[in-house]
Amino acid sequence: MIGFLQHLIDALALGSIYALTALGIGLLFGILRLINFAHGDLITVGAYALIVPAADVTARLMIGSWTPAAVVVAISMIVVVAALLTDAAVFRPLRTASPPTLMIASFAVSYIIQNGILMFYGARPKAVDFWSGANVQITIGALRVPLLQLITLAVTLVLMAALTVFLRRTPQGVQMRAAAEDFRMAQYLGVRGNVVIGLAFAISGVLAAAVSMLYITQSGSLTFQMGVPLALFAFVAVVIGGMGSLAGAVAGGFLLGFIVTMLQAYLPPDLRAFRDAFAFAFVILVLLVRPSGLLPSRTTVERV
Amino acid sequence: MKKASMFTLACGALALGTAPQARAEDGITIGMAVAMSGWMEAYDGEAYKMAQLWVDRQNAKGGLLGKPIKVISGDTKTDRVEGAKVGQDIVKQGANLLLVSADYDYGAPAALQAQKAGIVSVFMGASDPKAGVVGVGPLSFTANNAGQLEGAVMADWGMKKKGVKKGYMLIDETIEYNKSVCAGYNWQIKANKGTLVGQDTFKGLDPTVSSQITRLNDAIAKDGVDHVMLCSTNPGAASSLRQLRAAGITLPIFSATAMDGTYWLNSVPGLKDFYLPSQALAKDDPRPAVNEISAAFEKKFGKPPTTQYAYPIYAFLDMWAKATTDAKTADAKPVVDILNKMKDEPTVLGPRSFTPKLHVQTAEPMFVMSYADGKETPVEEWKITDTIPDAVLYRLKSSE
Repeated sequence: MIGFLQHLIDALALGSIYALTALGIGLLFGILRLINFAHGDLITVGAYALIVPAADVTARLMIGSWTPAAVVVAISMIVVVAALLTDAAVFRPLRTASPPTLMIASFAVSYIIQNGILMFYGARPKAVDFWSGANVQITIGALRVPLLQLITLAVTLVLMAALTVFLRRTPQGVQMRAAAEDFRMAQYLGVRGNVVIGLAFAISGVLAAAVSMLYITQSGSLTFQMGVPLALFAFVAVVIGGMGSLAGAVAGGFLLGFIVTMLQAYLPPDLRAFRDAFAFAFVILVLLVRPSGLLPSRTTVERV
Repeated sequence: MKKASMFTLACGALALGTAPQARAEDGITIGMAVAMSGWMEAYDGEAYKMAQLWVDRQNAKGGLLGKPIKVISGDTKTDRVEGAKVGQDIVKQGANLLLVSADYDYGAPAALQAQKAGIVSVFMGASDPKAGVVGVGPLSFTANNAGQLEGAVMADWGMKKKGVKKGYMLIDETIEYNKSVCAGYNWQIKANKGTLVGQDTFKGLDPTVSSQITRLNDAIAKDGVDHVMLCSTNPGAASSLRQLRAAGITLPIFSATAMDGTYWLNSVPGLKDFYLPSQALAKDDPRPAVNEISAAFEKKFGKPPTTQYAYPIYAFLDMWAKATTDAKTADAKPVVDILNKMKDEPTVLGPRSFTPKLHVQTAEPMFVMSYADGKETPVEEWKITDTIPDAVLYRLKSSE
């Protein structure tokens, strides 16, 4: 029983990182029908922003050595600017393009960001001692609860709640939801499309920045491709949860974390290497039972 | 019209392909088809510089066979197709020896071009025994040791000097090298009558290894695991090590040469009781000759090598030069015949051997390095006494 509870805690740990990433991808999909694979690379940008920009083998913290509040503000601002730049340079000219075109464009953005980092910082993974104080364990009886996981979980839930309140209670949020429902009609009614979309990109930037900081505290390692698997898993989480639904994206993230952790824990050793294949097979199963995801968004269903 | 031009193009390509090779008769040429850009650059770059340093020093001593050594190099851009093109191009320009990328997958396309043209090729740092006779052909070598040897050295040294008996393997499935290291470790610990209590896998970019830590904790509590073998490369290695130590696992952790160097230590503040095998130290190597090379490297390029991977090519080039001098020609066959007979040939890095079947080091002594106080220091030199079987080197199912 203790074993299963421990696995459950491990699953929450992984799930919260996926959920937080999925929230960023889900938000842009909801508003723009953009599957933004470059979201993972925004996480990478946030991580690299912590260190002195140099190709030196040994990384030195720059922004990362400031006080935590200053780090959070600075990294969020940098990633928000990066997200807005991707919108201004690539997605805005493609505003009327079809979702597949947008997705391909996001791959291009991803590729450009990765190669940009490769050029400025070099290919060798970097190591940083970032917020190691948060990297401790709390033991409750025989259970091991990493403090960082509690923080990640709390950040995920707070950001999701804040985003939900923003979308439901503020004029900008209402406009954003209106744009998500029918972009053209919203424009006719006086919603400024580019402002709403810019805001969505900015919020996705804040979410990516949060993942950057939590992820780096956990791993202490940077590499130019670090965001890619996160974005891939988070995208799958969005699909499981129901495209376009924020609560769905978070639920999908936790479910995926649960599936991956349980497979890692209970698969026989020979099969463990194929963990991800099993996880994705399970995802297919979920989609066969519920084709529009666990918590489908009303607007998506209507469009289909 | 289009058809006609395609035909002309095809004829042209054919003509190029069959053109007699223009060998540079007036000197010895070393070709280098290496990644000078893209992510492999971080791994090829220093060995490439070391090879340039070797050429400088050899030329200062009068070159080879009384002729100066010329270098032709090309950028493979961390791309396998580009590697084949660059390799072919350099081979056509008449190289006598072709240096290729430090990885089997990325170096093989260029090495195959050399093999086809009957030219000796060498991987600057590949640890896969396939980087040689089996994967490329009888004229291909790797300057490095097999990954399996690194795992075997740690198991052997750990059991005989640290007194550990019960191991646990954590294998990063990202690249084959990691699996090779653990295959060697697994074989040696069993050969020494130790116990492999358990094993687990992860992927280098997994956001967390908490579920692996849970299983390991269980094995420590129930079965008395007394050390962990971490078969991984960065970023996965540093990241998992950080998480293992943060989870309060203080057991000795062994790893492989890929973690050599101190550039990643920021990830694991206060790291101790961590050991790995290495061929050379960029700083304060116990051997003056190695330090002298490091100093020359620093003088020429502004900073010393970051890891030991810069060094193996130097030792190989010394061996190749000796074989060429003894054969009195740089032609592949006589040179390879002599290289194949080299047994415990003294080099700046210690004794090195080749056989007609194995063009990778599988028994060389290695330094066991210890990490503490933010430093990497040599503990002692260690040589395994058993011969690693082919089934382990090629990771055949029967060896598991």
